[in-house]
Amino acid sequence: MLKRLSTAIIICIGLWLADRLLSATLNPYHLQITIEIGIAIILAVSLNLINGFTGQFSLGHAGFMAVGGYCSAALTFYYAPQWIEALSNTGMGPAAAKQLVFFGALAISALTAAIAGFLVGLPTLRLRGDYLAIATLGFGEIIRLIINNRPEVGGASGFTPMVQIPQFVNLFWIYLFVIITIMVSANLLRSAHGRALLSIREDEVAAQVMGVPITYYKVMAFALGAAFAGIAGCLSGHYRLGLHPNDFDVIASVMIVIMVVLGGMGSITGCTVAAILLTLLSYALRSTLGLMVGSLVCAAAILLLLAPAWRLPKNAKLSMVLAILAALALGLVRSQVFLAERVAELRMLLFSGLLVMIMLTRPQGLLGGREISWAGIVKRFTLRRRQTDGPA
Amino acid sequence: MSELERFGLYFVQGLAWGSLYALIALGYTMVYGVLRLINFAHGDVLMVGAYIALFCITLWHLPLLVAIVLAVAGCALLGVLIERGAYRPLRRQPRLTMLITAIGVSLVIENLAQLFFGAAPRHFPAQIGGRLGEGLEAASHSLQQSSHILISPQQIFILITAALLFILLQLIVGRTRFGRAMRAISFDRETAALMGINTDRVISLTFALGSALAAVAGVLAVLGWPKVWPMLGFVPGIKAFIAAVVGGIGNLTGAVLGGMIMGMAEYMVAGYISSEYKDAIAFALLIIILILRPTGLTGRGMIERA
Repeated sequence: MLKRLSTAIIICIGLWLADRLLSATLNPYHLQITIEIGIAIILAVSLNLINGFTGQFSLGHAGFMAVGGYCSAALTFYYAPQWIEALSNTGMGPAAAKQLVFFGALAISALTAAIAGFLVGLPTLRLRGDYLAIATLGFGEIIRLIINNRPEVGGASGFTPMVQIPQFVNLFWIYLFVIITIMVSANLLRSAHGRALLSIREDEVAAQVMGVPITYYKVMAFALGAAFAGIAGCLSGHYRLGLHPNDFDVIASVMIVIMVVLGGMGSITGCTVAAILLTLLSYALRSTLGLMVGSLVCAAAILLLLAPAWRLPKNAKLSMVLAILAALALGLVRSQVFLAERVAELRMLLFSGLLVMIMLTRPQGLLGGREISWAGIVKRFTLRRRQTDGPA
Repeated sequence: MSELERFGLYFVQGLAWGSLYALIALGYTMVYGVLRLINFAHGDVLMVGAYIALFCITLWHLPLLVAIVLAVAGCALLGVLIERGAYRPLRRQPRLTMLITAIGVSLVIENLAQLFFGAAPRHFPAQIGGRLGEGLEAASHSLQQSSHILISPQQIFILITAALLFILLQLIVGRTRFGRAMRAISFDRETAALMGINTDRVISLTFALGSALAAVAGVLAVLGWPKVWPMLGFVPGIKAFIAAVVGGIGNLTGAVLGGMIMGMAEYMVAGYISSEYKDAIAFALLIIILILRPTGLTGRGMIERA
């Protein structure tokens, strides 16, 4: 207990120092990227709970994020001033009162998102995986529809409410929740509950026969993942000081799926790495130059990697790569203006192409369910040493 | 407008959209039958069909029927290409892998369309020219005169085409060798392969057939609601899949029934309750049917196979 407490304190101090240091040294753009990476990690790791551990396919993660974001935003917008005042009257400092109120809003939004996950999951998780994909997709769209038609939360033009609560969601808070998300899912994985989830992923029928209450566990994983998505939504909304329904569309959900799939379904470190990489990539692909390089590399990689799957002979492979590269290079150079206009489309095209490519060439993802750990790195290193030491 | 006429208007609109949903749902249900896959790219094939017809009519000034034939040919080819390029290499992978690939393929097609055709909607010249157009015009007029049913020539065309295609499809699936092979594969793919059926070829042909139906649905959709844009197929595609689930997936009659229910429900909700929540009714229907009757209206009890 004492050890855990000291670990927690050390983590908090470390995070606080990192926050001070980074906000002093990084420029605002890079700071924003760092924050976005943190939110992406929370989303990817929490979707991994549903998608990677339990083997259920959810396409509505952005919907749960929207539930959490809008719920907390509405709370802080409509009730925060009264609550802060009431708390201040009891003798609490105004800064502490604000933090406490925000924390309450965060907890409520996580709970609401979990309830939403429970309500969507209960009827659909009893059935086959395909229906869950469609039902969660539908849920995301319905949430967006409801938000669009509610003037109280800004409707279709977005919600910019958090003026009363100054922006205090900083690097510290975001990365604190990143660590909490990762630790909760890592500890869950090692517990009996985690093994039940894995058994459902591996073989649902067998798990049921062994007495695992599969609906219970599926709904539990789903609600837990939704709760973390809600937290991510709350943090993101209170960092950007605004929410827009179009930020939570199907594309947003698919982006989180791409992170999980790229990292390797079931691998927490894999999802983390993929979330970092893809967020960086999406910022790198905002410039025309980045896009040109990206599309060339992507086209070449798609062809070379997919050739075995498509059973092309070697000569055809090479000439196709060359032809397409030449055509792309020509086209890109000629159409700089065209490209500049369609940066967003091309970026999304690259991401969706990446998704198809991973599935066709390495469906288990980069790490394929394995984890990166210190012990593992050390072990691998010492093993290599021993091998080189041996008789040649 | 009397209450009855108002109901008639919604009814006709619901019927027209419903038959489009039915055409799309048929493609979903056939592909689901042979591969157990929700082909997310199906709705985007529909969008490509609408664009092919648009270019045929506005750029090359071809008649509507020729445009439909070209759209059908182009989409059938596209469907086969998608199956060969993206789904066939994954035959031995878990079904989840194929599902994620399908979403990726759908996004690739949508973004390619946005890249090349632009994201802005284009107007589709929704005229049915020639003798056919005149005949439909006359039929629409006489129906209005005799029974006060407001039905446009386009809607008559949609209904007749959808009905003819459904009969044709029933004949293909029920009476030909290919249809029998398809049914055998959807019953048990491995045993069908052991019985000497070339499963890869039949699956490719199934994609071609489903995509051809989607192409017709795409052209008919933009005939009735003349706007062509890259995201045209996405929401109708999802709703048509739900229609297939509601009717009982894997069953042709079920797909048509589900499509009709979906179209009717949408227009009745839009007309009598609120047009803003028109899109939500599809997902409400899905949840209700999953709770009450998971195998769909026409479905029999299913045993989950490991």
